[in-house]
Amino acid sequence: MVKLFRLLKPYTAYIFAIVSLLFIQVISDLYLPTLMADLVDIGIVNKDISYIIRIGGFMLLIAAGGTLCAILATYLSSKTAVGFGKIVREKLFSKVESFSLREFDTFGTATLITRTTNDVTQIQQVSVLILTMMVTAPLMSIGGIVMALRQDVSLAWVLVVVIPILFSIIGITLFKGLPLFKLMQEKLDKLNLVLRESLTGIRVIRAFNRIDKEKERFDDANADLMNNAIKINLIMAVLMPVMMLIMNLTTVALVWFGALRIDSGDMQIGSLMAFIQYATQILFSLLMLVMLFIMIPRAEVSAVRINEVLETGLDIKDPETPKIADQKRGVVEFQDVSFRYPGADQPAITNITFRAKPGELTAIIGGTGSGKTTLVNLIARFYDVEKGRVLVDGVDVRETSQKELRAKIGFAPQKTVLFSGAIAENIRYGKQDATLEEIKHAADVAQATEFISELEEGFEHTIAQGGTNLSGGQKQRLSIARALVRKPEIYIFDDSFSALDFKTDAKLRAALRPEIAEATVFLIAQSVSTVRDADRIIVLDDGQIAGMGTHTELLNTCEVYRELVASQLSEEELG
Amino acid sequence: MSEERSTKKDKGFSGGGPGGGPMGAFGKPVVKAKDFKGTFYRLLNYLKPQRTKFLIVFLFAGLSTIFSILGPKIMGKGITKIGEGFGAKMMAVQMGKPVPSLDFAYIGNIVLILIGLYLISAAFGYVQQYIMAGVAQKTVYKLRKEVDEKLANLPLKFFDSRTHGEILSRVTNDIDNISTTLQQSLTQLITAIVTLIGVIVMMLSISPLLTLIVILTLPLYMIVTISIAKRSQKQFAAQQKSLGELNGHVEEMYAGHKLVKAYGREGESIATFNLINEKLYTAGYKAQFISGIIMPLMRLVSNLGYVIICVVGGVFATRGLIPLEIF
Repeated sequence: MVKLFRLLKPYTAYIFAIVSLLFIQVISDLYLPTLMADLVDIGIVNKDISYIIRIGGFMLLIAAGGTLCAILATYLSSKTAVGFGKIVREKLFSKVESFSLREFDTFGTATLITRTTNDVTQIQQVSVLILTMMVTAPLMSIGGIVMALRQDVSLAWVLVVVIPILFSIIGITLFKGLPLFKLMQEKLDKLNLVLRESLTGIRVIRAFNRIDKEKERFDDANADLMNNAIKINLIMAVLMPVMMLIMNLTTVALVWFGALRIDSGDMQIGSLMAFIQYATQILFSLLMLVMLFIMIPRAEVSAVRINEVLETGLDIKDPETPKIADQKRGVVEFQDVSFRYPGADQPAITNITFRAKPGELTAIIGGTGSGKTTLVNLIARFYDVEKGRVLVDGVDVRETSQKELRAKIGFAPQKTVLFSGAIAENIRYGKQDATLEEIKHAADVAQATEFISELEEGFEHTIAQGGTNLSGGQKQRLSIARALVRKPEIYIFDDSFSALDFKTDAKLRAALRPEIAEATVFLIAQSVSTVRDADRIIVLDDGQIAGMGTHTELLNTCEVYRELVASQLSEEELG
Repeated sequence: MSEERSTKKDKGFSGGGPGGGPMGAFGKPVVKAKDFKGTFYRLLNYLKPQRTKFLIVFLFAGLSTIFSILGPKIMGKGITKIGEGFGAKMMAVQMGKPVPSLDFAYIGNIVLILIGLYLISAAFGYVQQYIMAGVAQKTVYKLRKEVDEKLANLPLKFFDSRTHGEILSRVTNDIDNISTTLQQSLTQLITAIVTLIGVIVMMLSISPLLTLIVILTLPLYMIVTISIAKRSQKQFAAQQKSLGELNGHVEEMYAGHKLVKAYGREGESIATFNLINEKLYTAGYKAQFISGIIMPLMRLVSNLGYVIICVVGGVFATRGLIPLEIF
């Protein structure tokens, strides 16, 4: 938390102003009972009406001044705390946006979302409290003690008895309650998780009639949450009445012992009344502090989670003087490349060497987990290689800027991602200044025009988050159109045809051919029929190149490929 | 008077429950319901099965409050007695007579009564909170369950036109808000009403004129509360909206991180984020400010009444029209 507070620097002047304003406000609050004591002890006892009115007017002034300070302080602290939240949020988001896939994967999408949203809100709320209470409460209790002592020293022993009792009761409650508070967050997360899962999988759940099963899961999490909340509330149910009781009994004690002091002529009646008020102020300030200390551990958890993100070192950085490839063509070359995912024992790919030129279609085939996606991820420098070099247009991808590099690439990922918004906007994501003509053309090639024109609003049709209102094949076609509109030098289609039916697949392929004739194309595929026309087929087996060449070459030379073909194609197709 | 002031502070303060921080329930009406009456009646429906428990809660809350109001009244008697004794002492000193002692038998009695009273009040308060703890949570549990069941029956179109974050926040955050409100505001309302009536009765029994002064300050409270609540509702709605927008953007960008990277759109993504963040900041600090000034303004109003009573009461007291106990 303290680390995060460094981000408050632009607000230093505000914070000083807040502290001073609150200081004045506390003093004015503390001064009122003393004035009242004077009013009683001097004004009433001496029956001096003009004195009473004078002091009364003075009290009004003080009260108004105090309120003014409080309002100003609230204004500044609102700006500071909410501004603080804004800064933290901004820092977090741009940090995450700069994450490579490697750093992103170590956290995971879900927790990064919570960290950027809920955790920041939590921090912001606590900073509001800290900015106001953290200043007022100690000032109030110290000031209250000083003022109370000024009224009467020997009555203070009542406070000396009460305060430890108060603290021990709070201590016991905290000791019992804090673990439950922490659990509360966990249970809420669990409920969120269950619900989120059933939202993302809503179509599957309904299709397979798993609704009741999901309901049961939700109910379990829900009941769990309720039971924990009830436990907490039962503890709180003891705390509040006991607190009130202690406060009230303190007052009673003060009256009794104050009466004794008055009887012996050591104290005046007005002083006793002021003392009682000070005592209440002190106890309430202490309670406020305690509440703050309940809040802080919860915020601390959030702060730690935020700091984890902010302090993550960036794995992939642009060089200080990025080299720019002189020729703008799209030659991709792997030189003895090996790579392993963080924490993995086995490398994902080993000793990969090949060279792909513009106008060539390189197909990559192999079983699940054979490293196909990993290989193309390295071209876009989503990860850095462990050994060897990846060259694009003769320049090591680590020596050029990521922006420069990725501007050359049109990428259609394995897991299709669409953003909420119009279809046209989604395609335009590939090229920001694309005209409607370009978008329509890309959709045409991707065989998307047909289904788009069937939609009510055509290209302006709104896509739901994650594209849940489109079929898998429709999403893939939009994803391909998005890559096409970019007109890049390098295309990467990571299993992007998998959800297309046979007819659409053939039509798309035919339309695609002239479109990408000039480019270097990488195509990851599961089926042999998709890759047999490729200029080069790379057969990956367990991260290693098991064979490389054309379909006919591989049939003769590569055992792994032959097995693949045999499992997929019929005898006559084998040719 | 000091007692009454302290109960007031307590109300803004008792938000120790889960979720709602201090002052959580106060001045934070999030998004305004379109059909408030209908929504309110529906909520009442949910409470129906727990009717008897609610009645018990209200009864105990009322009793607890009555006992705690009786406190200051009796305490006042004690202080007046001390005051009288004090005055007598002064007179005696002035006239050179032997100084009389305070009436400790009387004061002692009052102290004992007070202790008993506060103990009973605390016990009632505990019973009320004990029952309420279960009642509120069970209602919320049922509410959540029904929302989940409803979700299972909604057409897919509903899910397509909303981001997951939005639906999630209804089931968790929004229902949490209801829970806090049920748990705190409802009993607070009862307590406040009983306190109000009780205190007015008590004050009337002490001095009708001073009561009038206090009652005259009540519209001030109302004006302050209503005008602030109006403004804060608008700002909170704006804040909630920006927050939803921000959450939606974050969720999408993170889910599509690979794509954002592949197409080099980090800059645009951050720019959009900053835009929403700025909006959230503007709405957020205003909402925070408006809800933050409720407490100081309330304190000003109560201080105002307090000072007026001090002065008027003081003037009266010098003329012997009323005893000292009004303080």
